Amino acid sequence: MLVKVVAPLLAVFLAVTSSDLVGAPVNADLNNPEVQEALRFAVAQYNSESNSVYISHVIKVISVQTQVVAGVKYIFTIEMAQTNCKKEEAEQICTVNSDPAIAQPHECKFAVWSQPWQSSMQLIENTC
Amino acid sequence: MKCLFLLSLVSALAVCWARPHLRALSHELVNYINKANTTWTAGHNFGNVDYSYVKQLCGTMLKGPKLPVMWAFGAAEAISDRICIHSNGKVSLEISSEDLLTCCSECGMGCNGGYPSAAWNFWTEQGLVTGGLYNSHIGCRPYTIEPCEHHTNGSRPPCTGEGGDTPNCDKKCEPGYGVSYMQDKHFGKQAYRVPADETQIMTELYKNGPVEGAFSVYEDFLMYKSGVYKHVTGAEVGGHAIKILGWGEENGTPYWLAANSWNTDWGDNGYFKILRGEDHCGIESEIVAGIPK
Repeated sequence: MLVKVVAPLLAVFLAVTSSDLVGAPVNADLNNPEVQEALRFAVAQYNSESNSVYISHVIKVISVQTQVVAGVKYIFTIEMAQTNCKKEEAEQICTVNSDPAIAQPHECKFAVWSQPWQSSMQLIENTC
Repeated sequence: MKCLFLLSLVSALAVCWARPHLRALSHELVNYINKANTTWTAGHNFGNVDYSYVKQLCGTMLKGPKLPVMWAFGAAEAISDRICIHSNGKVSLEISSEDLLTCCSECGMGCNGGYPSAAWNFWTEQGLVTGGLYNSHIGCRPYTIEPCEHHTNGSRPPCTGEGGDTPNCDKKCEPGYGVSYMQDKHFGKQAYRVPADETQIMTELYKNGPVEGAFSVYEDFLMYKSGVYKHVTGAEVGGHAIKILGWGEENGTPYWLAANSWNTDWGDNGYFKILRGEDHCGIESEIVAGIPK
C-alpha cells in the first residue's frame, strides 16, 4: 500500500527535480548592487565605444538575468536614449535629449562578464 | 544535539537577517566573510596550495571553458575518471565534453544550460568519443573554444568578446587521430541519479568514483579561497554543475571536496570544499553518476 502511494509521488518528485536546467540564465533583481554595478559598467563602456557626440543613458530596463559562467554573466535588455550631454563636456545633469532625432530611444542587449576574484569585468555583448 | 542544531539554525537565520548589502566586487565582501567567523575564507588571487595528491588521482579538470557548459564538463570529467577507475587504472583517457555538448540534443540548450542526468543517459545510449582540452590534439574531438586570460601578462591569449553559440556536432575525429568517430565511442552500462542522502553519496564515491553534482551559486561563492564553503551573503546568480570527488572533515565541519572548472586561479587551486550533510545550496540533491561498459 505504502509503495503504491510513495512510488508515484517519488516518480513525480524525480521527474520534477530532473528537469532542473543547470547553467541557464535566471532572472535577477535590479536593486541588487552587483547588478547595478554591472549595468553602470556596461553603459559606461557603451558610451566610450560609441561614435556619438552625446552620452546615452538607460531610460527603461526590460529584463535582467544572471548566469553562472566561470563567474557571473549579467544579461541586460534595456532601452537607451541619447541625452543632452556631450561626451567632451564636464559632468552635468543629463536628461533625455529634447530633440527626438537626437534622443533616438532604442533597445539594447548588453552582457557583462564578471570574475570578481580576478577583479575583472568585461562587456562581452553589445547589440544596440 | 538538538539544541546544537537549533542554535545553529537560529544563528544561520540571524546571519540571514542581519547581513548587510555588500558589493561582491569590492574588498568589503572579502572582509565581511573573513570577519564573519565562518568556516571558509574569501579573497582575490592566490596560489601555492599543494594539491598534487589530488592531481595524482584519476582525472584532471579545472581548465574549463568560459561558456556555461559546466553540465557537460562535469559529466565528461567524472566519466573519464570512472573509466580509469573501472579499468583499475589501465585505461586513462579524456572523454570529450565537446562531443557531449554539441551532439546531445536532449541534454538541454547547449551553451545555455543543460540537464546533467540527460548527459549521463546520452553516454549509455549514444556513447562519447575522447577529446582533450583546447589545442591539446588529444583524442578524437578536443575542445574547440579557446580559453583566455584576463591579465595581459598571463600565459593564455587575452579575452576578447564571446558569443553563446554552441559549436556543431561534428561526427568525425580530428585529422590524424587514426581512429574513426564511431570506433572511438565509449559507452556507459548504466546511468543513474544518486539519492540526496549523505551516506549513499559517500558510498557511491567510494565504490565507483567521482560524481557530477549541481548547486546554486551565490555571489559570495565567487570569492571562495579556502575552507569549507557555507553561504553567508549575496544573491543567487544561478545553477552550476561540478565534479565531487571526495569528502572529509575540517575543524569539525564536514565537507564535500569538489573540482570547479573556473581554472586554477579560482578558489583553492581550482578546487573547493562545501558543507556536507545539509543539502547546502542543493549540493546533495542533483547527484548523477553511471558505470562504464
